Amino acid sequence: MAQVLRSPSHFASSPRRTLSCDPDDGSNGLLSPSNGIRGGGEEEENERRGAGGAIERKRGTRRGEGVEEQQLSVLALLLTLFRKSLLRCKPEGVDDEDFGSMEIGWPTEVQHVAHVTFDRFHGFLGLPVEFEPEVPCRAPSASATVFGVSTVSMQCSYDSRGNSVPTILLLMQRRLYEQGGLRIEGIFRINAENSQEEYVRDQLNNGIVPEGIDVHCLAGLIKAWFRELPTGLLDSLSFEQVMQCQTEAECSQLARLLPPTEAALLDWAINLMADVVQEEQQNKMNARNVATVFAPNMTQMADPLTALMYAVQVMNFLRMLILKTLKERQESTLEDASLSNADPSDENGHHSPQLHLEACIKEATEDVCVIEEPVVDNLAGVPEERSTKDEEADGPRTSHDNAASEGTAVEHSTRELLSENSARPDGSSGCQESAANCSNAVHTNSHGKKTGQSNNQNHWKGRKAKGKSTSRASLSAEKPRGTSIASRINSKVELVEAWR
Amino acid sequence: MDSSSSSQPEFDYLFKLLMIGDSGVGKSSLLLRFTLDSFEDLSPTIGVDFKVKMVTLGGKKLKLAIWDTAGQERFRTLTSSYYRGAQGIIMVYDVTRRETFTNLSDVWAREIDLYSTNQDCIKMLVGNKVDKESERAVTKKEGLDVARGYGCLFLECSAKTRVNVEQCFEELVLKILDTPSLCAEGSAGVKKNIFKQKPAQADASTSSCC
Repeated sequence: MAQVLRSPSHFASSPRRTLSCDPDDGSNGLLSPSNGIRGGGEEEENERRGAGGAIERKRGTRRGEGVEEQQLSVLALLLTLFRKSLLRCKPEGVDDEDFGSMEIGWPTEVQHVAHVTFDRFHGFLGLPVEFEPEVPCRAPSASATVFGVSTVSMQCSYDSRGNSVPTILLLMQRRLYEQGGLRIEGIFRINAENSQEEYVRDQLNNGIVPEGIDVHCLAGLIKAWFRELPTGLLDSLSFEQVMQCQTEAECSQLARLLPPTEAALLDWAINLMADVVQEEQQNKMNARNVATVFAPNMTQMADPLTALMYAVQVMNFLRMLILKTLKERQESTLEDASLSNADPSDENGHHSPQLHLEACIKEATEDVCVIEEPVVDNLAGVPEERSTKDEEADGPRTSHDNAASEGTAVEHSTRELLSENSARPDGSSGCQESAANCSNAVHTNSHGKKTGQSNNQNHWKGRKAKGKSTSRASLSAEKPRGTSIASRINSKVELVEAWR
Repeated sequence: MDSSSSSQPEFDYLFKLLMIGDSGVGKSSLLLRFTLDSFEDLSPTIGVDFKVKMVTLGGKKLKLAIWDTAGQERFRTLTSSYYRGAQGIIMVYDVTRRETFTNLSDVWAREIDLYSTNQDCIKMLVGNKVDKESERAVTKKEGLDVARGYGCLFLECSAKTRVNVEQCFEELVLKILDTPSLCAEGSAGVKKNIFKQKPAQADASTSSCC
């Protein structure tokens, strides 16, 4: 009982204490209206204090008898308790004349401390240092959760092409590039260690970006981010539309049909994939391979079999876009070269992420810190003859993949049986039949229809140009954090360079 | 299909084998080596790939239907349906990448528990890429220990150099043949698979009629 009564009194007095700790500031003017209220004085205050239900009854009693107390033995206990609480309050009430101003609605000691703004790119600006710890460290998204959240609710930044992309993606991309991930064999294909991926994902979801994430983990999380979007990136395109796209032109035309948010994300992703493909010699990821590992993450389908077949179509779609992007890059670098090689920074921001990467690496090598990291073993193990074989194998592989693009693996079994030398070269009719059934199911129309989307296109370009300047600003703002990582990976980069 | 059918089956047993493991450990390469005896850089598998190979083992003609699943995360849930009715499961890891080994216990073993319908189904742990001995990150003993823990077979092999590839499948199939319940499932008399038995004519023309 005693505790029940005491604790409310604490509540009442504690705010007063904090307010009175600084009595000599210029807030007195505000007190005058409160004086009138102070007439109610202690009684009111007691009432306030006794807000708990148990005290309701007692309050009535106290009012009736005033400070005379005693006599009624039933109430004796209650009264003593009340007196206790009174004693506790009184001294404070005495030295602090203006406790009446405690009333909600009467602000005291108002003071202009700082002008703080918030924007989604830089978080709080102008926040006084003493308040900083109370603000959770910059979360990578508006909602602290990163995965499985719609882009709409996420903090976005502009990439070098002016696409508005969730900051967390850009962050993971930058880390990946800084750590030389683009040159690691099988990047985006190879799974990270499951436990690390789960750990990092948890951290990111809590708004923390841990240091020293494995490159495969970063790549895996980028894929996971797309995979776990509430709706797949390409879900607004219909199955038929994607199926009908055969040429690069048709594919890019279709890509323009995407809503702006998705279009921006896709453009970012395609450029990321193109960056990977540009390092094909090292990472062995050609356009087909990268598209294959990204494709299943770009759509969401309930039915596994449809998803499988669709993944093949999406893979082709992505591959076309990657190839187109690469071509455009080649053209633009040629143009740049022919024009002049004057301003490197302009060139840098302009087209080629390759150059951007070079810049990152340069930045990294400038740092002095040297820490051994044995990650390059992978790279060192790449035998040279295999890379040449890689090119040679391109021919046969396409036939392989054509079969795959018919949608089912059964196709393979047919070829398998045909080429099988163990038993019967001609005894595959049954399988062929089933294969034929399957390929029928995924029959592709080879001619896509074209839709004029020039308006859309213009809009698209305009947006891009506009974003360019902003992106650089935000990138430079984030730089300081990046350098520490850069220095850590310094030795690795050197090794990579040496290996080349 | 329409030829005169005789009682002579094309094979004595049909077994469904499944290959699982992380992306890039060499599942498809192993299979390519086993079925076509070739080796090349392969693209990532989409969903599931599928190959058939006839082998003769212990005087029995066996038809192996081997399902090669994609290691990509996205397909983990999709491939779950392929576990059904498999008599043998080959869990592949890359001896040069430790993550692929730990993921077998963290991810793939769990998948088997969840989706495999066959209690007696034979499991086999296979460490691939032993040709890269200098980069080895998982010792043979570690592999053996894990295999013992799961009660499964174990081999180290290399799809690139052919080492132990045939043996992988052979040991697995022999073990299946040793298990009566699995043998019964796979025997040619029981038709539960999409593959129909071939008419005898085809059989007779290609292989020695026995």
